[in-house]
Amino acid sequence: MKHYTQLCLGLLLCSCNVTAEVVSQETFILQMVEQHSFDKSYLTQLLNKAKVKKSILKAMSRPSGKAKPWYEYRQIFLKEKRINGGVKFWQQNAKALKQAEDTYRVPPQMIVAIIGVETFYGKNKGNYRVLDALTTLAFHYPRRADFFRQELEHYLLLTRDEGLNPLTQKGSYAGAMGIGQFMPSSFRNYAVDFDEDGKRNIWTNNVDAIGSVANYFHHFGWKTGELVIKATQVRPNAVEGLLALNFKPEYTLQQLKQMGLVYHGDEIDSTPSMFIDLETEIGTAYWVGFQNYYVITRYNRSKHYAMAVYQLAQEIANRYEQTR
Amino acid sequence: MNKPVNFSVLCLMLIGACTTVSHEDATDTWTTQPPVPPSQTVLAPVPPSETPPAVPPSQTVLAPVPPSETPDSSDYVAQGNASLYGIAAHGTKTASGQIYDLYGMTAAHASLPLLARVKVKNIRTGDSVVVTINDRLDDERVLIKLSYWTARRIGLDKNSSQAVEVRGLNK
Repeated sequence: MKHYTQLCLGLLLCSCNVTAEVVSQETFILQMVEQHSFDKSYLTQLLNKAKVKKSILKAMSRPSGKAKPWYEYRQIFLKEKRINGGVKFWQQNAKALKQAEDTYRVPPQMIVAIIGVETFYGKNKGNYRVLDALTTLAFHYPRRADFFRQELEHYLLLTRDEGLNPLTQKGSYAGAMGIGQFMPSSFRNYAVDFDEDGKRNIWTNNVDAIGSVANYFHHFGWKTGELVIKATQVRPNAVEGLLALNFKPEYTLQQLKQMGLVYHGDEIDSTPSMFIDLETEIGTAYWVGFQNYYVITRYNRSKHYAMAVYQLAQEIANRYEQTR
Repeated sequence: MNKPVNFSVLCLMLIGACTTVSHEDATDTWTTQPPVPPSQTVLAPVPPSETPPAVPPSQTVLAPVPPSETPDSSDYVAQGNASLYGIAAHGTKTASGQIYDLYGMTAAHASLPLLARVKVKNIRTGDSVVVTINDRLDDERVLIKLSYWTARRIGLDKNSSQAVEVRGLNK
């Protein structure tokens, strides 16, 4: 599980600038003092307590290009245990999920499925100290140092704002935190105090975690009741061209049809659409993705991730319905 | 796919036009076991007033049933053989108007009302799954044709027994 959570939230916000030189810890501290009035000796002592984790650097450099084919990836997330766990999580958090649906117009099964894929409903939230993870990556991982230095900045600000001890918060090896695995920047932008107890506690409070995931989806444009994906056929000679398109619904169905999509659904030609291919056990199959599919990819841009979340949501909703 | 009787013809046409496959037919019917006699074992005959008569393929109702009105098929129980859709059917239109998705929890049946929900049990293993009938079937050798993933869920593949029990649900 851990090595799937690495991809969440954070990567999306990464501009992937490769810096020739990593900004030093000393420079970073001076910037935090100047820009956010941190105490220099406090921050120096704090960051000196952070441990550089070799295991994190090793995990980050693991080749992600050799990803599993879809049907193997799918098996991990569409297991009976995870589906049943989702039904149980739904039953135990029905009130908060209903409230999130009313407030943010995001259906319960989507929120449950995200939490199910990210942390198995809060069971695997990551055991790294967030400060260790972010310090390691901000100062010892040149390829993504800019991104993680910003996340470290967000982390120091959020722990100060929320009155949390920056040394004790836990997360994934990439610094993703809590039940919904929010990166610090996402926490500051989208986490909500959904039970109004004065704290945004996404680590141990399911209500806050549920509200925060729903708010995230709402912010990125989830449209309730609208399609996520639909199966499609394709002219054989059109696959290459369709796969070369951007992975965003920035095309109309009509444009995709003109390129060789053989679509049998009833959606109107102007519907914003994107093309998805997945390797199944019995061959490659194709789908059209709509706006809501794209919203799931804002949590993690992998096409496998988004489809797994959607299919898990469907299975959970189906089974939840049967238990009522 | 307006008329099920044209299904295989249509599929053959589509295969020419679609990339997915080198299948010869959209349906993988098991041939390792003797086909079931056309008369499937209906365990509990349904009173005629409750169930629509088996619709001849040429008269299949085309108008999709609104999803809110899931038909009650709870009186129906039958045993017979199952087949499953091949990948070439992925993305084609079913009799209900819905698009077949290989990961959908759907099935084709000859007579049950469209959008009826039924429990399909693998008789050999006891595993079961709930599916929505969204397509028509006119192959008399099989009782039900399952979506690829539904078949997998109850442990059916080409090498195992295809005997299933289909039991209607009230919602």
